[in-house]
Amino acid sequence: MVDWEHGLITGRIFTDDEIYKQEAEKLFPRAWIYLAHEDQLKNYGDFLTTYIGADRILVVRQRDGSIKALLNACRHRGMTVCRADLGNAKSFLCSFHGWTYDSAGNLISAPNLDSGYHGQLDKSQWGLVAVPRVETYKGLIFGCFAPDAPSLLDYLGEMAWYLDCLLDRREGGTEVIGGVHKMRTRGNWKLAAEQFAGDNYHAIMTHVSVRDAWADPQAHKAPAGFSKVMTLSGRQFSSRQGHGMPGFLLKNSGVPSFSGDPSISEDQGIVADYYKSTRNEVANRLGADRADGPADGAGLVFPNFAFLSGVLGSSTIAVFQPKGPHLFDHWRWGIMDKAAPKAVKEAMVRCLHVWPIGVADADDGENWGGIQAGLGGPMAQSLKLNYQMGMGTEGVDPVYPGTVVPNMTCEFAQRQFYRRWLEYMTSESWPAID
Amino acid sequence: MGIKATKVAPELQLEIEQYYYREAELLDDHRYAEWLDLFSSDARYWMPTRSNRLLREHDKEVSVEGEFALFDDNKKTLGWRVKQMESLTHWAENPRSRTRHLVSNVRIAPAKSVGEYEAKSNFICYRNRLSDEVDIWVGERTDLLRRDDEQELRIARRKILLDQNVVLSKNLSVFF
Repeated sequence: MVDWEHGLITGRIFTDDEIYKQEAEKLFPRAWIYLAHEDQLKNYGDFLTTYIGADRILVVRQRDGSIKALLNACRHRGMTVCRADLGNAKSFLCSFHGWTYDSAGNLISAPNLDSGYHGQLDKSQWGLVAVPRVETYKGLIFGCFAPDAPSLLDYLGEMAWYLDCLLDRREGGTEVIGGVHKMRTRGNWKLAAEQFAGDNYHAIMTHVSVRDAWADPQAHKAPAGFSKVMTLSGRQFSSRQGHGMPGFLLKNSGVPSFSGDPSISEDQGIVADYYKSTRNEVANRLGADRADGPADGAGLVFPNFAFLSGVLGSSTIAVFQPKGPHLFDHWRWGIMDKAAPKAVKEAMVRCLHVWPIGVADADDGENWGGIQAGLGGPMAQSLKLNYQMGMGTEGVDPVYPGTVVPNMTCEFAQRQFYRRWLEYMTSESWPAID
Repeated sequence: MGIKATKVAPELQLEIEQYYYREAELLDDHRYAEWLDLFSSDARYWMPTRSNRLLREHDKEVSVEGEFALFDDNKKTLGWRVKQMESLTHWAENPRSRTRHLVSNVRIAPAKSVGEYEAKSNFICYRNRLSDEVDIWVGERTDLLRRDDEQELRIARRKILLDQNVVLSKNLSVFF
């Protein structure tokens, strides 16, 4: 079903109940899954709830400053112990029978310990199950159930170099703004994941109406920056671990900064000026190539963490939470340099409400749902879909790590995504890469 | 303790209710440019997000100013959305969705300035799309209505509380 070498992917991987079940068992618990940003858990007892695939996860800041991720299921009957999205709590009380856990997941009390259990319930054995591996990369907290998985840093591999363009531009790193978008989206989660990994191709068609939205009513023409994007010089990155960046601009692309277009709005101008004014500082931290290059783009950390970095006034991070083969929840936060001035942060927030959330995401939602509908029957599900763009164009770049295609628009990163997906799905042990 | 209902002149109640019915008609007839005209030049159109909170932290259930919102538009950016709705290549609305906005429970109170009113209303918006896609959004709007120089009512501020945590629709290519 996944013939990545020939760029052929069978539609059934997006629709099949059994494949979905195997993803839940073999992929999500074994990959490093994004859980939260450290900035969201500032103080002892700060918590938020999320998922690793189909499993509910409770992430809590500990008294010693560390982070624990716990399976959010009571050891007595499996009840969801914490039913809030976020907040602060020093203990978690199960509302079914009252088993109570501390912020580290230890069972600290239960009703009827003497009269019911006759003192024989060993509380030390009945704490919430901890996600055994929790590691952070520059503010991003990931969790993994697989004892044999590599460290998060090894898992990210070359992707870390690109992530730094979002996470490590300035001293202090990043912060996320309060509030989150959660949208129940029609379509298989992989449709969104592969798009953020490699699909620059869709932007000009799926999002063509953004050009209409931003058209200058006097001149009856679109701002130059958006419609030219496909033809600009850039690169596509992909990693053997399945991560990818669908396309990013180079310094000589003809667009000085894609971070904001002052002809679209004053706010985008403020953001563009901010990127210009911090360029040398970023170059000193990360080098000129990263200050001028791959910050402008989308990306995916395999399998379901995505970002849009410094594009038209804002940066966002996202997780695609699978909800069966035909639905996923699209979670999305705004992220920005902690050191940015207040006025710039406010401009970024205003920008992200209209782009990408406002005028771009709606058409993605329509198309993902349309794919799922199009693959509704057995004939369509047996189709071998074409993932062949740019076959054989990948190679090594003197500047950019990983496997790189010398073109903004290619499908190599999608082929790598599904190659990696197949390895998880077919490997009994952790799918190590030689 | 009884409910202290604000006394509202019947003519004003009728005027604002009729105003909302006409507004709903403009939206359901996809006359978005005319709908945009209802807003004052300094308008704000804001739909915060909602989170599930422990009850003792319930005051944080609605996101606040400066946090992530589902809509946070001024008239210019709302105009972008309207232009997109009128584009032939806005795939989320081509073919057009069928919508029906129902507005009720209109509660009016005088605002700080003469000629301004704070009007709360509840809404149900039903969307039927393509062959069988159905979305139902329910919530509350809090408007600041202001009379312009011609004594026409304009929406100067609208806060929309959508009664959903995960937004259970694939997008919000709709206005409330």
